[in-house]
Amino acid sequence: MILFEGKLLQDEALDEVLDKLWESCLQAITHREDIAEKVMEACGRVAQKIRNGAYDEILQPLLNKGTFSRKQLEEVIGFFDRENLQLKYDTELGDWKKAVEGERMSPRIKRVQPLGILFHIAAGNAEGLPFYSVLEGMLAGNVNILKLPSMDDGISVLLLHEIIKEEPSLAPYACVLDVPSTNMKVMKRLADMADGIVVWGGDEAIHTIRTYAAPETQIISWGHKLSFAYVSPAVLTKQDLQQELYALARHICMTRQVLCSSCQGLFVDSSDMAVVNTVGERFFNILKEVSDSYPPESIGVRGKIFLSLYNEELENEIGAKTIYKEKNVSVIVSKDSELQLSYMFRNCWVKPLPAEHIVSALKAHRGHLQTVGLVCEKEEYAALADKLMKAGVTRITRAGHMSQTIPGEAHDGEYPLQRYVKIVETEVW
Amino acid sequence: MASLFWYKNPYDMEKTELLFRKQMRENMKHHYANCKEYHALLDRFGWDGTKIQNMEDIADIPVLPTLYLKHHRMDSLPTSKMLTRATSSGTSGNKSNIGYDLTSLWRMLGMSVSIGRRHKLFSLRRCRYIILGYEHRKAFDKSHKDDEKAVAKTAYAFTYMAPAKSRIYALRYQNGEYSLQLEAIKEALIKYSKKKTPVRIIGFPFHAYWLLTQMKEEGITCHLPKGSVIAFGGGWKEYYTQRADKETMYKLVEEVLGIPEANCWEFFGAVEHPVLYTTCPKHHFHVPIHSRVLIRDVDTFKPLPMGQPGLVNLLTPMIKSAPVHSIMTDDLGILHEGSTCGCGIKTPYLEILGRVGMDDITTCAAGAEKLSQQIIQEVLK
Repeated sequence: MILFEGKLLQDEALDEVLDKLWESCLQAITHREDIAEKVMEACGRVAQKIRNGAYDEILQPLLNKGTFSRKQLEEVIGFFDRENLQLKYDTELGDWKKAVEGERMSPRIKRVQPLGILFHIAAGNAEGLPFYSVLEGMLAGNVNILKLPSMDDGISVLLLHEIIKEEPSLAPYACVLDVPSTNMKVMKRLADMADGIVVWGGDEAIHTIRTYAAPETQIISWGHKLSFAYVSPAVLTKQDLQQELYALARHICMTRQVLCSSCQGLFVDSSDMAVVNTVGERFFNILKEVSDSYPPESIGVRGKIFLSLYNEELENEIGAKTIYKEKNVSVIVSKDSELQLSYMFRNCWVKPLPAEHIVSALKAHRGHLQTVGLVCEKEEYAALADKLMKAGVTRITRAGHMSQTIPGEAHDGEYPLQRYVKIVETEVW
Repeated sequence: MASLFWYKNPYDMEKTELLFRKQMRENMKHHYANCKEYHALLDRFGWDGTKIQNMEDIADIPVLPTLYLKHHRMDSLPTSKMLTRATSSGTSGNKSNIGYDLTSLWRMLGMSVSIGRRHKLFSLRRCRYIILGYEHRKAFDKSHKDDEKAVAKTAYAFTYMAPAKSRIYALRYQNGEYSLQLEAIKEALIKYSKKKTPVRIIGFPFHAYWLLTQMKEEGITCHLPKGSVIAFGGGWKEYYTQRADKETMYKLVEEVLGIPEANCWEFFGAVEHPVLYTTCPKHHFHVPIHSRVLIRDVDTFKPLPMGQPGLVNLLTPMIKSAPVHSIMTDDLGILHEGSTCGCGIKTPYLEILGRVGMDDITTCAAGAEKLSQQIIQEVLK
């Protein structure tokens, strides 16, 4: 599906749209206004409509999947409410913009301006993420071209279309195309139009884009990140900390471990493998129990997990790892302290990482660190959080809240809206 | 009836069942005795020589995932006995590397002859070959022959099924890398369509699909000489989401090249399971006597009854040089009752649904035919 100048078109229209796109972007920039207010207004109205059930028919398949509840939907909608967007805008851009533009020390006047044209290459691991990326681009005042991820569910195009229906003057600011990333010719053409390329994806995706984007084009990457839980051995004795493990297991089932903020595994603050193993076994039993109340993964995913775990057992000839598995839920306990991606979909690792080694073990992964779900006693918190921050993590939460997003919070240590603007200095005489 | 692989009717499972089981036992015994790594694995599974001797159910044989073979080179014969090696065309970096000895190749030849005859793949008429795939490197790059992709070897072998007047390749090897040259292929097709010599085209379905859609868009249609054939193998790989269904593909072939549906062939196999699965006139992959398929439950690993989707376990006693007599692919598939096909072949037929791990697999299972990581296999050296 294509969205161009506010109209929904079939994919067959791609060539035609590509021919007109540059001219359309130039027009939009020439007549550019500060659209943040309009975007927030329109978005807030659409949020209200969703809440009132106007799109239930479209959202039903998503809710039927079982990993996305009505309550979560409510939370997501809340995020797009007028006042929450205002909070996000003020925190990320508005207040800073006022400060920059109001600064009178320099004889030149400073203006915070959008980058211009943003080309968004969105990922498909979180519902509605492509929409969200464009929304941020618009809040910062940019003209946006979005390439949908493969296997997109159509929600992003729909939402953008609805917002434009609410506020038709926003039409020139959002164009959506469905082009496979393998179509390098078109990808390059789009990249050539952009002042900035916003990439959601792994190192490989970013690397590919660097091969065809012009050197002067800014690449703003929201790369793949890894998140994990850090667990104090106190979890074995304290009842309330055990509850945190239950919350962590629910988080794992709910996010399917596919988000940057999803827990991939547990580091235990101990070098004693007996302790690490006990935590592993305990968590496996909890995960197995919690897993029963979530719908099963698809047969394709279960097949993949089965093969991975079967292969893991074949490879484990000298018994270096302890593998707990049942019905494609698993916990693999190993002796190393290497941060790694898990097999995902309710399969995680448990490894030793004594607090004194946090910085040295994690520093090598500094570019990939994101959220840590910290499970420890109150008196341990400050020292552990300090070490984790020094290692380079950007968010520390309670185990069950690892993927919870709060309006106005930073993303991977940065405010996205600030990355989509620049400071322009003008001399007046 | 000494050899299963030179048996005339490749689909006479009834008469060859005992022979198949006997050869499976012998093959497994051979690997247990000659492949150190396999011996160690079987020991861990609690198998020994006597257990192999009494093995009745092939489902009990420990299964090696292709994933494991990608990380472990397993040979059951010394390197000096290996006449050639082939690698899978895996896109993710790791590849299986399997060696083949004379006995294995001889069996492969027998199987190919028997299947080729049955499906009328051979012809004495000279023809022109168009390979929509990798140029066969052996002729000019001997140093790399050991790691040549099996898919390139297969395509090359295909060009011996009928005498070749000429061969051209879509992926030409130039300055150390392959480049895709669809324009040259287009021109050749137009030229050949004006002559009398039949054309045989083989390649990845996505290359064929790109070429044909491009030609259609440009309004180029040609009517290739009678007896021309197009054969697909190797699957859609990373272009899986852009795959075309069979009907669309056949219609396109007929429209652009004038090749009737009956002359559209498909092959399926793997470097780890080099049995030449060939489509019947109804476009189904019936299991030949040299192979068995077990579909296993993704949760319990137990063999499933016909008609249910699961992991695809392929078995054959063909290969003496590597313990690949029971391998597990990365695919999900369904085994269907042979009689439901209607082509006359009674053995069950295998439908590949797609590669494991793909989230949309439940929705695209219906008609999709993904050959995934699997590749058409080496027929001859």
